[in-house]
Amino acid sequence: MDGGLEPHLPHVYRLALRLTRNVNCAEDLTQETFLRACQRIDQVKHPAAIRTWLFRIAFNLMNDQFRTMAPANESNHAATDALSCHRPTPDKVAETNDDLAQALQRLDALPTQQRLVLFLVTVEQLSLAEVCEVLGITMTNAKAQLSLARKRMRDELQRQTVSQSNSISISVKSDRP
Amino acid sequence: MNSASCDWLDDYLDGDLSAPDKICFEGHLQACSDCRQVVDEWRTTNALLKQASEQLERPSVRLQIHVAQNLISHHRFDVRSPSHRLIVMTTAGLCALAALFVCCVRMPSTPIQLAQHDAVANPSPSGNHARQDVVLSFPDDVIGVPIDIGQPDVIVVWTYPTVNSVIEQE
Repeated sequence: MDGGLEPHLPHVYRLALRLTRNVNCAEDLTQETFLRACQRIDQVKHPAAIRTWLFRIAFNLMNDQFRTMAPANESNHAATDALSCHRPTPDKVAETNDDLAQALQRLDALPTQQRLVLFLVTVEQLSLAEVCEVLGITMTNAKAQLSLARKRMRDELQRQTVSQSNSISISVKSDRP
Repeated sequence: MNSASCDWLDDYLDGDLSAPDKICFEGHLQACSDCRQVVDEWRTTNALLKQASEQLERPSVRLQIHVAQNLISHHRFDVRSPSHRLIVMTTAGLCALAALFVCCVRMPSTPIQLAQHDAVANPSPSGNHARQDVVLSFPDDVIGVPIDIGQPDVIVVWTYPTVNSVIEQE
């Protein structure tokens, strides 16, 4: 069944990026997820749900790693933020589509559960029931997190639109003699 | 704006509305610009996020190679899957049978063969060997070992269990 695991690599990697917000950590987490999956491949009863199963492994691994790293995180928030914060670099933003990079920035700015629920629903097209299975939360909680995430994304988009229009009007005024 | 219908917005976006309610709410969307704007923004955000993640967050070639290597090596050495377990157990069984067969073929079984084997492996210090012109015959369930006592004319045979004289001299 190993042949059925490899197509899920991009999906697991993207979830790892959402979880860690760090490219190197995401790569490590992805590798560890596939190693763990190979060891437990006999547990898969429904091949159709293999992606959800892989996501669950990645999420659990992340929780375990976070627990082991917790003392260091608590003692040095700034260093952890600097290490864990994954943002496209300005060069990358310039090279790629600004809208796409900004959308990911808005997503990564959300609190963890909102970020994960929104990502799994929108990008990975999981149902809310599958999201509950991956994250180990109730349906009510998942709906609440998704609703909050939508609202924050909408607010952020509106704020960004307003700031962009303000900057345009300022530049127009400054151009006038 | 119909507030009751506006309350269905989240359920509509979650896909939780029944078919009749969904049709009802889509009728409401035609009249309610606020809800329509939220739905449009949500669809745009969905598409944008999906496109952004798929385009900007591809796994590196190095990661793809590492994962593929792990999968291949695990597939090659995994002995826990039923098919591999069967192959490994069958091979081990065949090897054991082959070793047993070789041992049976090479093992000296008759008393005279045992005597010859002992004489070759442990030559007597006195230079006297068990006489080769004597044929020893025992029942199948009796073990007999010629013992060299230093006198060429006398043959002593240790047997287990004890039997009467069965030596035939030619």
